[in-house]
Amino acid sequence: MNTATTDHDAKPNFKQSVARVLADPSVSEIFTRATDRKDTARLAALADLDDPLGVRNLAAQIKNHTLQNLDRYLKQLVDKVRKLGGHVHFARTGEQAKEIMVGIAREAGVKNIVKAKSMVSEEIELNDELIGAGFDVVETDLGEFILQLANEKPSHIVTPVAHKLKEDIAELFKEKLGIEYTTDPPTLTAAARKYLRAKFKAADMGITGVNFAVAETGTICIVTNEGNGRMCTSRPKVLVSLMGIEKVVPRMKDLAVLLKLLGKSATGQRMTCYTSLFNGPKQADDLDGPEEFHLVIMDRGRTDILSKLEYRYILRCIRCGACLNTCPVYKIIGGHAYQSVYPGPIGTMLTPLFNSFEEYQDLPLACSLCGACYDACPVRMDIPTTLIQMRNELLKQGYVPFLYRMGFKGWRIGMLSKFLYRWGSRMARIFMKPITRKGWIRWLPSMASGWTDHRDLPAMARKPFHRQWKKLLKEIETEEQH
Amino acid sequence: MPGVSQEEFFEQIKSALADRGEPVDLPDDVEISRAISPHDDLVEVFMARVEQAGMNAYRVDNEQQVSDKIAEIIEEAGGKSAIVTDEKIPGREQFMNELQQKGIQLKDMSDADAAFDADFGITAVNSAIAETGSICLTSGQDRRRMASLAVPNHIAVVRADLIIPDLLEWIADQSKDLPANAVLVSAPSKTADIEMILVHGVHGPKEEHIIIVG
Repeated sequence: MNTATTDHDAKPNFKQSVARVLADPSVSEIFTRATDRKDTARLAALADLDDPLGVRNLAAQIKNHTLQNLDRYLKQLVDKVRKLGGHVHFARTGEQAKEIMVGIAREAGVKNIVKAKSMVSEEIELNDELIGAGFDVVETDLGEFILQLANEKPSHIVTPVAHKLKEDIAELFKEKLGIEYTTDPPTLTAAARKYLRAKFKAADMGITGVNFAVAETGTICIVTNEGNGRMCTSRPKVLVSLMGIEKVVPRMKDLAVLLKLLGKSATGQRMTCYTSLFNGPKQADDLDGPEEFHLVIMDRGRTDILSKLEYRYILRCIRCGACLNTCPVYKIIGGHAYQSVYPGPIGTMLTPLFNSFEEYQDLPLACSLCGACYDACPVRMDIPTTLIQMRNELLKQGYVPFLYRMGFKGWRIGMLSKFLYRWGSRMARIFMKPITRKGWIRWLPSMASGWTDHRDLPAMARKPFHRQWKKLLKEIETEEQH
Repeated sequence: MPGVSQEEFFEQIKSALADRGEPVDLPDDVEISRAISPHDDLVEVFMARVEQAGMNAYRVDNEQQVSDKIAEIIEEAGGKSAIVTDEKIPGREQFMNELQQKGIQLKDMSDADAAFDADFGITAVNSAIAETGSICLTSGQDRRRMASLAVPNHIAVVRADLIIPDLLEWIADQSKDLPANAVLVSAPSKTADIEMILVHGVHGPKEEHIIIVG
């Protein structure tokens, strides 16, 4: 993938990072707590709809149609946004998107930038670029603000500071905001509010992501719970919204279908607190609102996914985070272990596709194929099946070790022949006897030790089932005769 | 401006769609209408859902009662000042007088920063949705987006006949006469970013009061 930069500077090593988080039992405790409640709330909220599955199917249908006609709908969107008085820019890469944003800020002569939470800006590490170019940039979502102060990355796509304890935040605010140490969330939130109010007042440019962009009207939709999205789009004189190409929807009614699912799936809210629809810059007699509006449409590897029929549907994702909240793996290892912007089930697919299979070859394996994410996804993405496909691709591209491949080839041959199966299991029974301890095998010699590093095997039964069965059958028959 | 040209950008997308796959149609109106859950008493459903989301709903019969209610809410909260948009708010004349008499400072709407210092913001509502328990605020003449946002307490006055059953029916109206901004408010500003503990009033109002007239 040449259009995307890697998500992290250090070479990712999933096995190492998982080992690291597993050594700290508090990680699974924190992430289980952070996700369980949202997962339950999602189910309760969806029951609000008469036919939740029907609505999810509609959403999938809308997105599928849009993706296969993406050129048409994006063109319509571009034309409408321009008609409303907005400017549209096109970025093939993250680098280009950043250059465009710096260019807009310089040309408009702004100094102070307020930013709403946006995963797409996390992808391209936009803040570093703008700060490097001399602008004052502040994240205004509470979670993202905390991360900016702590110089950390998000660990969840909806609740980005899921990994932090209130004690951490208390220390951080004491040090960076100069307030008295307190672990009381309302007091901490009030301190952030006060600090950020001054920033909003002084801001001359706002940056947001885009949840949905409506082709038929040129409407940009962003949803926030805190109100920072509204602040960023209402107060500063320049507004810039950054979107991936997949965020477009054809009609307003399609937007309504997706909005019916987003808040419920993300946090179990009937609707997110604020759903902002904006149509270009402020109108002549409006008392406030942006004077200048720019829409930056970014590809950054998305056309690559679009071109592959088997992966295209991944672009349906509306970034609700339901798959993270329900995933038994995410709950235990948390977000940072994935070493990418998008963690959890959606990340296991997107990250290797955005970057490279070579770098992230372990991610498609970070799944037990339980299907909980498929069950939770509002746009019905069949994540487990896709991960199996990706594993297959790993095999084809040669990322599966030789011995592993040979082992499974041998296994296949053995399992297909009655003679080899019986002979093989007899051999295994003999060789495993000396390494069996209390009915378990916890260690295999030499090359096979990698297998037992992560698993214990139950010892094989002394007598195979088919032989036990013969005896059992006789017993049953005699019993029936009585 | 850096980046690529529109032509080049779309060329890339078109070539990615060389194989568009099995055609999928957009759902038609009948199919989409399956996403609508019917409701009987709109005002009742609206009020119940507004309350469930942590906002306050009050129903009154006439404009005088709107005025009384507003005075009561502000008094109870110990409010000292308010910013009132210049638009047609039901009962505006009455409550402006009443608030003035009670010594509530009325902020100057032309001041862009006024909303940052006011205790209360009072606005009209463009429409409301029963299904989601949302009020819709739009930008336009004589309105200020900040008056419902930067204040710690927001009072919205909505006529009962403006309540629309479903989000889908509401959005059908949004495709015409687009205002620069329309926002659906469905709960007070909130966050659970710190250890999943719910806190109200992050950047927007902590308290949302919705008065339904008629």
